[in-house]
Amino acid sequence: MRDYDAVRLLVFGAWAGYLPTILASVQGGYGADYNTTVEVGTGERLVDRAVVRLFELRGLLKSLPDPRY
Amino acid sequence: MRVLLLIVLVVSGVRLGAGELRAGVARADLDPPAGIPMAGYGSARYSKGTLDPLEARVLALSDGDRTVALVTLDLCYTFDAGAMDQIRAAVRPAIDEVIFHASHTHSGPTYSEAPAALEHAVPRIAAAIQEAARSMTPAQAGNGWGQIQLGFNRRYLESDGTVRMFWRNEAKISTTFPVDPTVGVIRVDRRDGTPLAVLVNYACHPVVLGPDNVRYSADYPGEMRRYVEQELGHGVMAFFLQGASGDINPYYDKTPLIEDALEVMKQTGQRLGAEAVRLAQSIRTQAPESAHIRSKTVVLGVANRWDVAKLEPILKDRYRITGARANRLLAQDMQAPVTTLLLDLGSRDRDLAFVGMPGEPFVEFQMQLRAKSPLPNSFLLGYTNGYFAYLPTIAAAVRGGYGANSSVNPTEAGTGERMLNTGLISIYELLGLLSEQPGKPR
Repeated sequence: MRDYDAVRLLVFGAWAGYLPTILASVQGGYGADYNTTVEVGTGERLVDRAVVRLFELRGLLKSLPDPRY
Repeated sequence: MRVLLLIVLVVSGVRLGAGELRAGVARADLDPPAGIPMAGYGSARYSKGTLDPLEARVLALSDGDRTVALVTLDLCYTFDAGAMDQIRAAVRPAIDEVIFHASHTHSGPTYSEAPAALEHAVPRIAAAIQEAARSMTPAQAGNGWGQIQLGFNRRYLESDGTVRMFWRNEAKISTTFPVDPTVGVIRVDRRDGTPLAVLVNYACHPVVLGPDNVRYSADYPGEMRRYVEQELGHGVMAFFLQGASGDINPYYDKTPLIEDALEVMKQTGQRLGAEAVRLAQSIRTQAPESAHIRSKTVVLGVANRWDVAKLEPILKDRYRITGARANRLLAQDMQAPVTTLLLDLGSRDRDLAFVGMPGEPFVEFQMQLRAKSPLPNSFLLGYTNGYFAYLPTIAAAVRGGYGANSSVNPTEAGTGERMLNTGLISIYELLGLLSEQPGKPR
């Protein structure tokens, strides 16, 4: 899944079906290894992208490096 | 009858000895000439000779069906993709996969700025890979874990949540975190039980020698290897596998030559070597009933973290960074390979997994891999198959500091987490625990 798609899912609430964790995908079961269509790891990636976006929105991740380094 | 059986096996594509673990080692002196720019420290330094030889060390492993070569380099970074592919092409079809891994010594040459030196090194490395493959012999393997404190986290977290860089820690103040003192040792023996190769994994920048040193050196990993080989004997070859050392410095960082830096570097290497020898001597290797070597590389498309149009003049004017280095830091769409190698030795508690990241991951990632991996013997290797500079955690990218929100952080925040998860998924896939087909409803 591209980042754009991940963000679209988050922002517009598009329906992606079940989002299992990596471990749940391995363990299997409904929504984990069947009745789910997203690639393994999508859930983790969505959460990480959301965290990054939240930091950006709060101004804690900037568009240029810290000039001290 | 035997001849007929042999013909049947050959025609059916079954390779004799399939499932038998075989290993071979070889080395090549990279022999870089004096006078070329040295890598690391962000300053222009030109080599004036050699303190200790810089080498490519090769461990070739085969399961009878697939042969992989792990090439460790006494360099700051691996070669660029073109040179790595040239070496891979030169050793095909005998070798199915070549994995390049750099120690990150800051006393090596910058090959990207010395094409003639690179041309000299490439055939030597290809020849060493072929020699390692030719010398493969039936082998058995085992591993063990230990601890040593040689380094510390160089990002000091202030009470207000900001970060101050804390480069040298001679007093061994232990107020920075995280630090991972774990030493992982893999021992590969010949079938008679004598050691053929010992691989030592530890996470710490090889920067005991500082920018005032202008002679080539492998830094403390080279001394560690020398110590291990001397103590274990039997012609064993020692390897250093750099872990996720992106934020870990040695206590005696950048020791000035006038303060006996060479002796300090040797002592650091010997301390790691002593722990490696202790572990190696305690490991009982075992010939697997059936070995299987599997690997997978996933290339991730990674965006640049910064506003590159605004950053370009800053790199040029403030940091004096131009040319190939600037291009690397300004790349908009990076293609970053994450390589996972699985040595299936027949049981989960003996199997070995390696996840290689093409850059400088922060130490937390190797701790996370061990915590999350289904295999207790999982190793995160930085500086593998490419170089996309520092890979901080998201939290570190926010808190800041060198390597976290600096000009040497081209990859978007979250890249390290993504690489870690990619490696973890690959381990599950290589173990056959994730299928491309949906499971059956139950």
